[in-house]
Amino acid sequence: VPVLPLSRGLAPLRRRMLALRRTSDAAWVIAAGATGAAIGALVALTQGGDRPAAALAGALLLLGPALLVRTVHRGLTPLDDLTVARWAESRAGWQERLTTALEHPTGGGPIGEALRSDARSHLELLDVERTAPWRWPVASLTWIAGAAVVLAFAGTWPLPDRREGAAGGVAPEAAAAIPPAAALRDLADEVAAEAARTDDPELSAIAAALRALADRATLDDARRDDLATLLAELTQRLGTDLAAHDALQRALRSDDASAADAALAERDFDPNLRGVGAAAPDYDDMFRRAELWVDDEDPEPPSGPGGTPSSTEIVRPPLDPESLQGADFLPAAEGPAPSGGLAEIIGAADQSQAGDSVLAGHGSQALDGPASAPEFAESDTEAVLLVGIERDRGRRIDVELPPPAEWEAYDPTRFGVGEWRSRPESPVSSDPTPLPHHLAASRYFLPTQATAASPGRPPRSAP
Amino acid sequence: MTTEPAITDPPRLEDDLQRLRDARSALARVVVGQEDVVEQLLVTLVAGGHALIEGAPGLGKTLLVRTLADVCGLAFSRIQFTPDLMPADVTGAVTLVHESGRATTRFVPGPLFGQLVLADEINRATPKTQSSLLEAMQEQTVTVAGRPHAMPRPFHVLATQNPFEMEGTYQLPEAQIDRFFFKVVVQYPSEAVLDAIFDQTTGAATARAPQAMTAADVLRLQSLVRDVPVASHVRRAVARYVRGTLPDVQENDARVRRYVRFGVSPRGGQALLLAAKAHALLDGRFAVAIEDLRSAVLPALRHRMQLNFEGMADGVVADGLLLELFERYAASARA
Repeated sequence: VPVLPLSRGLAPLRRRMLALRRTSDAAWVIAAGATGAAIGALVALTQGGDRPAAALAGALLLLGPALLVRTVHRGLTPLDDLTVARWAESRAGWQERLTTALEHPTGGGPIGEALRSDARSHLELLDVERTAPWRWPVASLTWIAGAAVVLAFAGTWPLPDRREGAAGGVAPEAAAAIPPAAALRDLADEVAAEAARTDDPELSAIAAALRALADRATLDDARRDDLATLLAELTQRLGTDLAAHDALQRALRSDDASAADAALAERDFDPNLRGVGAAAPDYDDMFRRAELWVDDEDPEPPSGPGGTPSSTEIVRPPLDPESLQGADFLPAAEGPAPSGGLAEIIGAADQSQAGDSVLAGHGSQALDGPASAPEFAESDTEAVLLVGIERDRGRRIDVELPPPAEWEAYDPTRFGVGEWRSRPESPVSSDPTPLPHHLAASRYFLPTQATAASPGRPPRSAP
Repeated sequence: MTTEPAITDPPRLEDDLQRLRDARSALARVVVGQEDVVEQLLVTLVAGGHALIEGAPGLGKTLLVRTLADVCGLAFSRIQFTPDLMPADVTGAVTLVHESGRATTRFVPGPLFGQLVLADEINRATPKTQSSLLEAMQEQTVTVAGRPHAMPRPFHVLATQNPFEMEGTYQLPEAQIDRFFFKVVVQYPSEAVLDAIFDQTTGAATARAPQAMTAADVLRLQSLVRDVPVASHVRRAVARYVRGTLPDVQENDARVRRYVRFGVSPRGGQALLLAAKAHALLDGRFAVAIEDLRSAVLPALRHRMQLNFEGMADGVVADGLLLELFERYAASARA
């Protein structure tokens, strides 16, 4: 059979081509994996995270598609005799001798015989080393080397704080401004629990951000410098959201359906109000714990998870609500300070957010007074004042108020949301008659005014 | 009568190829510095076609054709075309003759009845006379007085035309020019070639080309050419290339769609492939290569693709466009 000698002659070249192709495939796939690993490590380096895990994930992410692409490509380009012959012709300059002979294995008269003989004689001269010399896939190997360099850099490059630590460590002021990670995590868990209870996506997002913040707080590098700023933003978001929760809770407790509707419309709460009837957490405490760290002018680390700042001193137990009936910061009770000039109203509680309702309140002395302990008589107001830290714009004073007495009689199990009033459905205004029918009928029965009124044209007669 | 050897006789194949190579060498000795033209005329001869030779006066066109006839052992005939030349002057006519005391009519063949006919300045004859020549080229017969007369074999017309003196000429229409297998352009020789020509032709002795083959050899080679196989990817490349010259195909090159009036006909594709086969044989190979196609692109297709007015106004050259397109398709064929 005349084909066989040609196929046999091409066999060494086919083996070499297979080896070259496999080497190229392997290098290509490794390059893809190395690229993925380098990208993953770089992302972990810049965004924070476990760099080895990120590198592994990146490598696996690109390895799969690379293998798939290679497999499909090889499946579409089989290494048959014609492909090998074309390779040999192009490398050795044999000008379609082999491919023509392979496609015309028989017949052709003397020209055909001469053609096959010529192809065989050329194949006998085939030198695999010259025709298809072994060559490493330089492009892929270069790519792999580049990815390896990037990977090494991303994996071993000291993070900025490490360098600072080696040079002398984080500045004590910066370290003090950073809240402890455990406290942040506790707060995040608490916010997440409330988010799950109320199905509030905003709270969920805040909880996730708090967790990320806690993760970053564990890092020992300079990137923690912006934690205080981030925490301040989160605290603001938390305050806004908790204010909405607070408004809803208050509306529900006052059995005011319209207020509840307004609160529901304002925030994206779960429409089924799951968990509303249950006891609400202490939003004030939740917010205060977040807010305690947010003081860019005078950062003060908390004493512990959910603890009280060391500079804040609890003077008295919570105020008796009855003694504050005339206080200005209570709703509809604005007026002169009840404490004989010792106290100064900073703001009304009902004009502030949920967190602010605790913070703004009843001061015990003039804002420009000394920063020492307040001159506050227990008998005057029976309020609890937490003397804060002096700042440029005044003194921060925290007031804790006990809930009203009637709230203690509140039984969550008896509380029920009023019946929803169903609105009457809007009437169906669409006409069931299709538009084409309308048009046809109007053309046939109802001549337009323009047609009927146009001069010189006889009116259309009725059918 | 010559006894034609069987072309399947294996020992004769190498002999035939050797004769072809000898003919080329003999022609090159006389026609100095025109290797490409010599090769293209030999390819025309071996492929069984006719050629239109274009070149300025004095470039050796007549010498080239006469030498070709000498080398190949073909009966040479020359017709100088003029505006008053009539078809009967070319094809021959039926005349009244007296034989054995009786008056009878007999067909007297014209100068067209040669094996290698040089139709000099074909564009000076009227279209009617041109048509009589072109019928013989296409059908290999001449009809006179209602009776067909077969042309001798082999029969080749090598027509010349002067590209400069266009006044008083009748340009060949595209349909007729398409019947020429090759359009050979004779270029002005270089200084070194001119020196060799002057040295060779102004002395006491002039070079003469020896006969290298006979008419039977030419016929046998023409049969062999058609047996040369073509690889499928080469054939597909020719098909794609020919279609790529059509201006109406949307996926074709923008310049083709803009500048080409009409592209290469299927007959042009046949001529290209056949010429490539002949070129491969002339080169001692038995398979058509891309290089064979490249050498035949211009003579086989330059007169088959016409530029439109915009193309001519923009200075587009058909040869350049053809080569540029060919390189693109050739590269894809070997990819």
